[in-house]
Amino acid sequence: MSSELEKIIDNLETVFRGDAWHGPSVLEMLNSLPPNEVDQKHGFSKRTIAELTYHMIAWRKFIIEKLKDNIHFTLETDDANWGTLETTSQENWKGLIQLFKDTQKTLVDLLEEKDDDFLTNRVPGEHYDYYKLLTGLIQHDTYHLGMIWVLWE
Amino acid sequence: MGVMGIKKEPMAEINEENLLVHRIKTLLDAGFHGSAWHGPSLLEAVKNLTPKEASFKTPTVHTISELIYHITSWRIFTLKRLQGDVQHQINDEKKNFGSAPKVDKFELETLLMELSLSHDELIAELGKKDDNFLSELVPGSEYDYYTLIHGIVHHDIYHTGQISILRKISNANSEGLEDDEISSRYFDNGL
Repeated sequence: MSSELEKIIDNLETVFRGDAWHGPSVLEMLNSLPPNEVDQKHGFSKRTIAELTYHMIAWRKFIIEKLKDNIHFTLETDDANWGTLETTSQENWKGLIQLFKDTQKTLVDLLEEKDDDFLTNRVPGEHYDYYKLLTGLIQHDTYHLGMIWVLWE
Repeated sequence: MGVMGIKKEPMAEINEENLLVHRIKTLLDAGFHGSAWHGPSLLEAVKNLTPKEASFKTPTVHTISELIYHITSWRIFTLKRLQGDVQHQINDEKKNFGSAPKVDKFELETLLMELSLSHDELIAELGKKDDNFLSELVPGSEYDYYTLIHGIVHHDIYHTGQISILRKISNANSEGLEDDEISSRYFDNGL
């Protein structure tokens, strides 16, 4: 039987790439989107699809920094959380997807060096452990994917 | 608490045999009730939901009431499998999303009650298991219980994200409309 961390990495990858139990994966959805939709402003939603996409990347960056013991790292500004106008423009859509893939790879590579004991370690500067953070990240992906699906209307 | 108080199950002891089940239960409960890492839980997202919001239809997405039915359907599916029922299937649109895209107050309350009941039953059933069952294949499927139950957690939250945006669109679209456009057929009968 594979370890708990291996299973979490597997979930992180299937929700990102495909064959996820819940439905469409991150890349399946993002690759299907017409680029002219991604920076559309909707009156009813504060965020565009590209901003939500950047937000999913931003939390991967957060974990990568925490894995490097960067205790003070936080996503403080709006730009850090939701991206700049430039990074979330339709012109940069392909670049944003590439950034997402690269960040995912960096995260998975770092996690693969760890073992199960690490899951109950406290995240530096936070009150929760890596189990909660990593399972939370996967849930966070699906939460925003659900939003993106409806914003695509 | 009055005479009809809640019957409390004895707390299952956490040990080496059920640690993973305990963790999954915690995730499932947090995604459903609250305190989840990602943000709003399902129940937080449907708090004070009105029949009008629950019935709002966009061209390509199910209504919130259909999504609630759908979330409940898959909880019941999981529960049935856990209880050894290998026959139960969700194999058509009606079993998956129900047949009431538009609901009145009474129907919405029923939907939410069934959702909560299915959740409580699933949590109770999981409490009887130890970690070994997680790697068992779900009868009739190609995946194990670990994948199914984490899948349920992700599925809940995926649809929670949809519900939160659907509510926003519904409210942006309904400005100026009469509040009682969808009234209760049941309560209108003077019952």
